Amino acid sequence: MMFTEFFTSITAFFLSSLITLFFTPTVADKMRQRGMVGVDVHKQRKPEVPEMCGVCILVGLAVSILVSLAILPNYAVDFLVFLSVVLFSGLIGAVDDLRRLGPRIKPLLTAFASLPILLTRIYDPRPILPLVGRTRLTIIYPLLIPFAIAVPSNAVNMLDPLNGVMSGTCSIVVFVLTVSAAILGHWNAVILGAGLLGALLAFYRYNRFPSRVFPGNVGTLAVGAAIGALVVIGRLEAIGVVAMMPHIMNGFYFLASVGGLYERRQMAARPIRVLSDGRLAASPNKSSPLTLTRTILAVGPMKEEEVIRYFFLLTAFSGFLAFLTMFMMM
Amino acid sequence: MKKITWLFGVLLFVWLFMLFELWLILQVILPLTIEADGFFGILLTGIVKAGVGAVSVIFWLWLWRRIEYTVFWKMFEKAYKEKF
Repeated sequence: MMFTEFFTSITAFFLSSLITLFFTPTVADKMRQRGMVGVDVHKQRKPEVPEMCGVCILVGLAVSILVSLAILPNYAVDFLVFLSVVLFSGLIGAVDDLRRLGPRIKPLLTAFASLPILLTRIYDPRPILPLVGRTRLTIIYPLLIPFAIAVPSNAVNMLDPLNGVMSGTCSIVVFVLTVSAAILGHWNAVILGAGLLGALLAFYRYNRFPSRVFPGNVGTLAVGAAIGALVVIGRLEAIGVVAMMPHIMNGFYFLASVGGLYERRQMAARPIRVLSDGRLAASPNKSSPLTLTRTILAVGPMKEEEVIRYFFLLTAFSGFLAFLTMFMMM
Repeated sequence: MKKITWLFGVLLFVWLFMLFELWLILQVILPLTIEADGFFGILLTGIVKAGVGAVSVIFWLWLWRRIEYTVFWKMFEKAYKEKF
C-alpha cells in the first residue's frame, strides 16, 4: 500500500465530510430565506424543505480535491478533469433548478460534461471485463464516454423519489467503487472516491428521513456525473455498471413504461399515492410510469421508511454483485 | 426483506444475463467471419456482427421488461385486491 495515497484518501474523506456537515445547515437557511423550497409530497403535512442544498456536496468535494492536489501533484490531470466534469454537471443542475431545462436537453448537456475526459484522453480504451479479460476498444470506447457521464448523471437524478434515497444509495455505490479501486490499486480513484463518499455521508445526515434538506438537480446531476467520471478515471467500468443496477433499473422501467423522456411534473398520472394513514401505495393507473418505488410497493402499502430501507437493501445487493464482478476480473 | 425477494431475483437475472451477453458478444459474435472475398465480405461480416449483437441485446432488454411487468402486475393484483 502506498502511504501518501492512503493518507490523502483519509484526508479527502474527513475534509469533505466536515465541510459538507458545516455548510449544509447554513445553505439550507439561506435557501429557505430566498424561497428555494420544495414540497415533500410523500408526507401528509406536505412540509416545505430547502432545495438545492446538494451544492454543499460540490463544495466539500471540490475542497477535498484541491487539498489532495496539493499533497499529490502527480495526479493533477485526473483530479482537475474529475473536478471540471462534476462542476460542469452541477452548473447544468443549478440552471435546471432555477430555469427548468427540458427533459431532452438535460441528457445532452450532461453528455457535454464529458468533454474534459475526451480532450485530455485520460481514459484507457482497453477495459478489463469479467469472463472476457482485457479488451481493445480503441474506436468504440471514446464514443461511449459521453454516455458514461450522461447515463449515471440522469439515472441518479431520476432516483431521488424519497427522503435520503439519492444520498444513501449513492453512498453505497461510491463505497463499493472506492473499495474496488483500492483492491485493484487504482489510487487516483480511491482518493476521488473517498472525497465523494465523505461528502455524501455528511449530506445523508441532513437528507435522511425525515429530510431537512433536498439536494436539488444541482446535487443529483453532479453526484451522478462524479460516479461516471470515477468509473472512467478509475477503470472500473463493469463494477460501476453492476453497482448502479438499481439506478439503471429505475431509469429503464421509467423509459420503457412512458416511452420517452419526460419530467416528473409533466406526468399526468403519479406512480405512487399517499394513503390516509400516511403509508405509500402503488398507483393502480396503467398509464402511471413504472418506477422502482412503484415496483417495491407492488407487494402492498408501506411506510416511507420501509421503502427507503428496501432501496438500500437492493443497492447493497447490487454492490455485492459488483464485488463478485470485480473478482471475476482479477 | 421477504417482501422484495422477487426484486433480488430480477437483479440477479439481469446481472447473470449481462455477463452472458458480454461473453456472447466479445467471445462469439466479434470473432465471427463470413467466407466471402473482398469488400463485400468485410461489409457482410460487419453487418452480421452488428445485427446479431443488437438482436441479442434487444432480446435481453425485452425479456427483462417482460419479466418485470408480468411479476409487477401479478404481485400488485394479489396485494391490492386483498387489502382494498
